[in-house]
Amino acid sequence: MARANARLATMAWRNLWRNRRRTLITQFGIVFGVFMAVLFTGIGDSTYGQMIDHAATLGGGHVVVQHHELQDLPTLKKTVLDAPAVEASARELPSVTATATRISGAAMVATAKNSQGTFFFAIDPTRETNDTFGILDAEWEGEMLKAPDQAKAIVLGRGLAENLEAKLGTKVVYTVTDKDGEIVSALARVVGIVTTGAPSLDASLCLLPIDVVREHLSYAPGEATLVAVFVGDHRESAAVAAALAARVPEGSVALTWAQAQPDLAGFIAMKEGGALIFEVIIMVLLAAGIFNTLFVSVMERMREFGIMAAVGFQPRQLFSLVMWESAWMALVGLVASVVVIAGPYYHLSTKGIDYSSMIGDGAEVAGVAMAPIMYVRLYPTSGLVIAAVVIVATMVSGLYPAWRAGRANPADAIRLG
Amino acid sequence: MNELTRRSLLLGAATTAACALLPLSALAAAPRPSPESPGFAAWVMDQIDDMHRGSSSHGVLSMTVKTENWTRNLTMESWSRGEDYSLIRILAPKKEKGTATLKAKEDLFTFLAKTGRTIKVSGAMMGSSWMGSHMNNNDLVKASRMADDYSIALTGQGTLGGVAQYVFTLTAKPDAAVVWGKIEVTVEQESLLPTRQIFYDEDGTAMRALEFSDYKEVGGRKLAGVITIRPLDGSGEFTRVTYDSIEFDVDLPVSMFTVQHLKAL
Amino acid sequence: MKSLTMAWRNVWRNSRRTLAAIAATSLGLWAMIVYSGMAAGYLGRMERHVLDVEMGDIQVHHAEYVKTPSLYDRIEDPDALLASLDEAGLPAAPRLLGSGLAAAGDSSAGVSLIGVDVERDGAVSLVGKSVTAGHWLDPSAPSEVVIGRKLAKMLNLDVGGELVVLSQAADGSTANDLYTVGGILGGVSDAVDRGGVYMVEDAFRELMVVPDGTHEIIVRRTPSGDLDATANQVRAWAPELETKTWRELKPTLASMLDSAAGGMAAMFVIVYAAIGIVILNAMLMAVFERVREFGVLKAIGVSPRGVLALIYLETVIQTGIAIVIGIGLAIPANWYMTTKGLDLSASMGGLSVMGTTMDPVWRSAVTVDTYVQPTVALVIIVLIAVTYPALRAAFIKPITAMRHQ
Repeated sequence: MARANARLATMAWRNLWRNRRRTLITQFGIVFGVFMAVLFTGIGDSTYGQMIDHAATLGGGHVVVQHHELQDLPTLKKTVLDAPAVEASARELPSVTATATRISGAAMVATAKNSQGTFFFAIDPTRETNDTFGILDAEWEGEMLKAPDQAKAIVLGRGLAENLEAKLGTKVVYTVTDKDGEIVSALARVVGIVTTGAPSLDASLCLLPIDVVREHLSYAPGEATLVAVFVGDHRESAAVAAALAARVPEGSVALTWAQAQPDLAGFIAMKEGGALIFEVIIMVLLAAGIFNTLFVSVMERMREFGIMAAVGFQPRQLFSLVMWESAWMALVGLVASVVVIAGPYYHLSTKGIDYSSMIGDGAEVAGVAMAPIMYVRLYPTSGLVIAAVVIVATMVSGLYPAWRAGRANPADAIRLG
Repeated sequence: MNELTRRSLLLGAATTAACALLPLSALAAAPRPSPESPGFAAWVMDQIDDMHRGSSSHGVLSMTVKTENWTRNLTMESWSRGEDYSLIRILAPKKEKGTATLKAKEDLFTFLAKTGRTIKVSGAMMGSSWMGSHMNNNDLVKASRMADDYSIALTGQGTLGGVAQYVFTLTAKPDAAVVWGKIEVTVEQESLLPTRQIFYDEDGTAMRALEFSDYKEVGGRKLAGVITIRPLDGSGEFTRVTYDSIEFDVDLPVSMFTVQHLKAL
Repeated sequence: MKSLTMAWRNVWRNSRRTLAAIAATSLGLWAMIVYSGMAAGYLGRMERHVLDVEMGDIQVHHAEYVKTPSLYDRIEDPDALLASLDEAGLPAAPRLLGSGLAAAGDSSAGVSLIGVDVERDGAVSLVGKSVTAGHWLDPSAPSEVVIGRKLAKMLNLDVGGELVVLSQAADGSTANDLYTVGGILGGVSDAVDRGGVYMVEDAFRELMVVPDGTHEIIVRRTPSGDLDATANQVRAWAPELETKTWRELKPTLASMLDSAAGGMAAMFVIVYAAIGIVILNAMLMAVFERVREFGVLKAIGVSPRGVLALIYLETVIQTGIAIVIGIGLAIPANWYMTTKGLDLSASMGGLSVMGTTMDPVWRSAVTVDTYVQPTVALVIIVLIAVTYPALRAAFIKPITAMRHQ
């Protein structure tokens, strides 16, 4: 039986190359389709991955642990009491790469010249890296905060600094409403001015050392408004959030980036939906092309199938023969795709496409700046999905022609001269 | 608008009608150090800070605000109890009658008579202008001693309006949560009443001036009948507060300075 | 005539092969038509949202207003300009703009106040149609306001809820009044969602003590009017004011829309190429399968031109049928996509791109061009696809053809 199958496979392989031109055209179609799928899925995978990671670093991480009411009613009164414990339990999870404790809330910042209401982030600069706080590699004048208890230090976004007419070293007084509802003011001097390129961020960014802010807000030593949890691959966010949900202290919740930033999640869902529709259209068209090829090639060979039936081939074997032809078509198509695509893919995944001239400066989506270079980088699973789709689509296209071939009978050999 | 949100020191006290009050009896009680003694400058500032301590007041004042686009006059009634509590309520114009601001400890509330609602002023709203004047909400709640925030030195003497004056320079201490670099306070030599304060940023640019004038004696105390705040940006804008009547040491219960009382008014 | 009859017969002689080719062609056409409708809808959705709901085509302000918005920089005599615009048939509406604080319960938020001439505004903006709960402003109910959805959430307000608006009026007095939420808007723009408070013109004038003038005049161009030409026309009527097109006011958004249009054009090329491959495949098979037959024709003395004409005629007939079928099937699909659309709201709550909120329902935009352009493109693709096999068939030597399997 296995030998018979192997024979059918060999026969199908030969049949495939009997009409070289037709096969090559079909192959071309498959390569084209795979290329498009790789291009669009790859752009999506890398761009959205980049956007999510970027948004995570400026918000509360891929998964954020915070007071359960904070999302709807942001106030400095809603805190996580034991942030170090949350960090520790998050780091026990294998997919968690980093954690950071932060305080964020509303403040008024004032200089002698002007004042402005804004949102501040209080961080521990020794614990933040560029993977957890994405502005470190932005354009800096001066420097980042140095220690969590650095006295009188503040970092401002470029736009905010300009509005306050603040330069490096300028005195800034920030005023917040503390945990008890009291209004507290504190002094700081500008140690750094950062230009991120996202206009809304630059106009509001205000960074403070976390231990100093804790003291002003009368927080306990481990208290904070949020614990940001980072994972190596954003697709693990939901699993990590679910795992954390059982470990967070009472009154706190673990939200994924998508729950914490529904705007961004919506944008990505829409773009992915659009790309998917596009890919489905291409795939359906190409499947129609493959079907057409196989169907016509079977119809042409009905006489041949009739003869085969006459010499004792079972309908099942005829069916298998055509299915083998489809399978070879798909496999050869995939191999050809890999050969053809490898070069361009390498270029697009390392160099990327620079489209900064097209979108201009300061493009942002849901408050997240878009990188001006688009990379094509496929997740391994996306690659497998594309391969599986090609094989399944080709095999499905072959079903009806194969069924027709299986129905061939010896009489066809005579009738179809 | 920028001008309206600028911060200043001590201006809040103007609304308590207490800033420029000088209890003569207190002055008489404390021995006055000589101007040459090292503690003189700090002593004068403490005197100015202490003017309203422990006192309560009730008065009627008018406020004139002149900006580029409009000029308006308000008549207000004010109550204060120590440094923690004050309440100020608009009497005229009619449209805004009843609108009030309550300061209880470090909290600030605005009562909107027209709508009957009270709004608590949050930390982030501290920079907004108070009643359209050149003071902001933060000026009203700010209540620290000058000696805590500034190092004080007697840096000059001279005359202003034919009266001999001391000039003190208050340099912001490195840790003080104040936006100014320094303040120049001019005080009458004889009475030790303040006549002018000029606020500078750290670069030494004069940002605003606070002027006291029209001193008069009420109930055994001497006070400036007129206080003017001018942003020094050449715009010609100002806010001027004039006391029409004032009485001291009136009996005001703490319950007067609550949101409930605001609503009941 | 004779060749036409012959072509017609040939088409139906091998109905299976014909059907396969027609099926491939009509599927291709169907996909192209539906896709172009969807693509136009996608682009149109973004641009139309910006223009119809958010800002109109052209905005007129006081010369200083755009740079430094101030309650005092008003268009002093909007009526004269509005009269000119009306005369020219350009829909236009004035808006009063201010900022303040809105409070409800213990929550408060900074807001933008927008005073609307309800009747005129309906002609320039669909913002009134974006109300998702309650109803739009009614001039006879000046104490009602319509607010952005995120603001409603922040202040925990529903339709019928009360909010206090606090600001500084133009005469310096404390502006404050109590309003009832008449309606809550769906997604308009990030700014409106988070802080938009719409009120009727008279209510704004009373609150902010602005007896005359206006801050903004929104102008729409006529359907055929050119954006820049219309802007220049408006500019000529009010030289002392600042007239800007939406592209000038939001250059980043405009360039992003342009690049999205470029991306769509690239996708078009790709989809057409995919369809081209399918059709080429079908045509190659259809012709090469019959090489022997053409060889016979050549052998009995038909000229290459005759063979070519025959193949083209057959192709035209097949394509004609495919076009009828493709368009026939595309009409219901487009109807569905324009009326119902794809609802992506399940996956994308409230979304803003460059500060512009997007409608979560993806609808197609269909015009005559949606049908004409893909059809023309299809005919060109088919003609190109058939030319190579047709030429091969026309010039094949009869003897080679006869040996052809």
